[in-house]
Amino acid sequence: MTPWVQVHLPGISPGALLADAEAGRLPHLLRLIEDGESGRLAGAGPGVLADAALATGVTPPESGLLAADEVRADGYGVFPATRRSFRLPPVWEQVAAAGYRAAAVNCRGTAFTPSPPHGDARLMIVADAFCRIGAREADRWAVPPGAVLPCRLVKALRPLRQHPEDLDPAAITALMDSAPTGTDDGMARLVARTLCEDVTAHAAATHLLATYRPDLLVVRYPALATLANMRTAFPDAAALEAVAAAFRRLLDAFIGRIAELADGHAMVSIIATDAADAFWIRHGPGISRDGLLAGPEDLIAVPAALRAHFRLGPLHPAPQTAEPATPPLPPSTEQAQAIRRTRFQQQFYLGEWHLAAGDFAAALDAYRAASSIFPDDLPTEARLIECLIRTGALRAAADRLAGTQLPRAHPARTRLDADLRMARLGLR
Amino acid sequence: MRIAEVTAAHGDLIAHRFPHARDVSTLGALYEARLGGAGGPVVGFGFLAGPAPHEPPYFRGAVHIEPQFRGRGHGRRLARYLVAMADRLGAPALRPLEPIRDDKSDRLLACLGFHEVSGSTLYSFCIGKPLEIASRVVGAIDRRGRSTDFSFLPYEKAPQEPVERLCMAGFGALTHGHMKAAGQYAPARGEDASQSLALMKGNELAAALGVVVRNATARFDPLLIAPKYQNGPAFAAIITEMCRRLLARGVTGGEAEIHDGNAKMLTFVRRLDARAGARSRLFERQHPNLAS
Repeated sequence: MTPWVQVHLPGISPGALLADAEAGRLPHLLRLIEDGESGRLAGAGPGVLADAALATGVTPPESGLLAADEVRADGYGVFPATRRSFRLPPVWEQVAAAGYRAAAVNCRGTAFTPSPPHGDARLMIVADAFCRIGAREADRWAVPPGAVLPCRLVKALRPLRQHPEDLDPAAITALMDSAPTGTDDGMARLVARTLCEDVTAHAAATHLLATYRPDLLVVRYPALATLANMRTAFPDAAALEAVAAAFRRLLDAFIGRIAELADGHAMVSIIATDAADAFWIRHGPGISRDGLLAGPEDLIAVPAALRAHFRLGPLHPAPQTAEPATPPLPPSTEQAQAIRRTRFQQQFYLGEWHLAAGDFAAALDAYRAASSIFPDDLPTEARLIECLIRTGALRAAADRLAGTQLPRAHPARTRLDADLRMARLGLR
Repeated sequence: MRIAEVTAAHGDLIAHRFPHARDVSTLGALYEARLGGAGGPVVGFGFLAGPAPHEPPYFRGAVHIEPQFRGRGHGRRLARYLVAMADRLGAPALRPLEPIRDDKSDRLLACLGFHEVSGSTLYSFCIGKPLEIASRVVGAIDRRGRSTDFSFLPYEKAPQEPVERLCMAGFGALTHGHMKAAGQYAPARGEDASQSLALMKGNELAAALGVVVRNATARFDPLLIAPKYQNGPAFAAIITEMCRRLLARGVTGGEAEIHDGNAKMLTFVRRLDARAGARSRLFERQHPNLAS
């Protein structure tokens, strides 16, 4: 079986990637594009939904992973999504169960992956929790429980982590030297943390690749998505773009190293995703040179190709994991609020996905569920009215619009007013 | 005995076997111990949680053995496993999830390399006594014609950030009394935390005192005094006001857990003719590499 190495680059717009590649700033990616197949795919919406689709090969509502956080298994607040969020095994677990050696590094929802029944030799997990900077001082940074599977890997992987405290200031300067003046310490700290998290993921991925030669390696480098989420730390868009461009060059070097370790015999699959768009590059045995991927397809095409490569059978999602029963000691008010926020976000993201997929009735249900948690959230209100219009419930849309708290001059309200008028005239 | 990490599948059991996981700001791992192989009976569970980045760097662990399997050494084996796991993960230190309130587990803790880092004793007293002493101080200040200009606020209406900062600085964690007084934890049945007070100087927090009343006895949380107001009249002012309010509501008994190292409070408590009661101790085990 030809090994498969998959690199996920969340937060990179295909446009920026192609522009940089064509300008020769991303030589390794350009080589993979020229020697392999590439093409655009439809995006999956918010970043976490793309992670879910790539991990499971099913639509986000079926995958179960709908938000960056999940309600903690013990019911005491929320925690970054763990394996508990998934309603079906991610592809790396399926590949391991099929008898191959599989590894996942820095992928979302991998913490607390249980040891497989067939023994843990075939499945290697380095969860996102392993790469997250967990302490202010490097010597006090422990590996969180449940972050590495099998646990014996901890000994080799722990020293490979990079902490901002140990970072050579020159590394930060190199990433920020093209940023306009006026950048501050907060921005430098953010850049350092982002850099360390991706460097840690890369160190773990290359270690596993070189030492264990897995049949499947999936690694996620979320630097660009992290920077985009923290855009307020940057003085302006130009400063963010300058740092982002430097990170793209760094990630290109990472990919070059991964491809080098894959030794030309492996299938190398690179997926860059942002909310609206995705770009897929395939390179390896049997792939034509400078080919165009048949499109338009959505992101599910990537795990579908991987599943076909390993000849995996169909899988059916398990029912949604039940919410934890009320614990004997009730959660604190802060924990309860965090749980509400996460449940809201899950429903809102679900609505966004259904809306993008054109399933307005399902989107309406999700937005209604979100609105029942936070009735005063204006973006949800706007989406709800939009879905009512799209599903033809014009009277309900008009009533809702009349009673909405959306200010008259709000762009969403102006657009909804226009949509409603057009719908009444039968023009949409 | 077979021990496996089962957080994803059975994490909901954490709240039932380790309810104090509520105090931990990260999701801990749940380990299941079975007799024999995977199909054997479950003898107990282990819990191990790491810190959040802003917290002191120690891990917290606990063991729960099902009642019918107790007294057979399973707890010791599970505890050894947790200690080894914490070492492997590089935890700088490991502490029990809850303070130890008896001496039954002293030998086991010593055997696993834990040592006592601090202890505290619960003292019981009559509310009238601290009121008498503190009001004398307040009276003396008044007689000297010095105005303190303090005002009182219900604890949960006080600015929470400085209160939390004081609590974290003093105890490394938010105490249960603080959480109840701040309205974060719902008081248990029969408990009332509404008498808790914050002492303000203008808009600035000077001191805060959480109190949970149950069966006409007030359980005082450690008094939090801002550094600027230590060694001043803030202590006497908040104690006087609190005791007055409690007596007015018919609360005559008081309890306070005093840290062994808090010489000032111990001196004060001795003046109350207080009775010493149960002790609770905090144990810690350092990572072997750091300990050496």
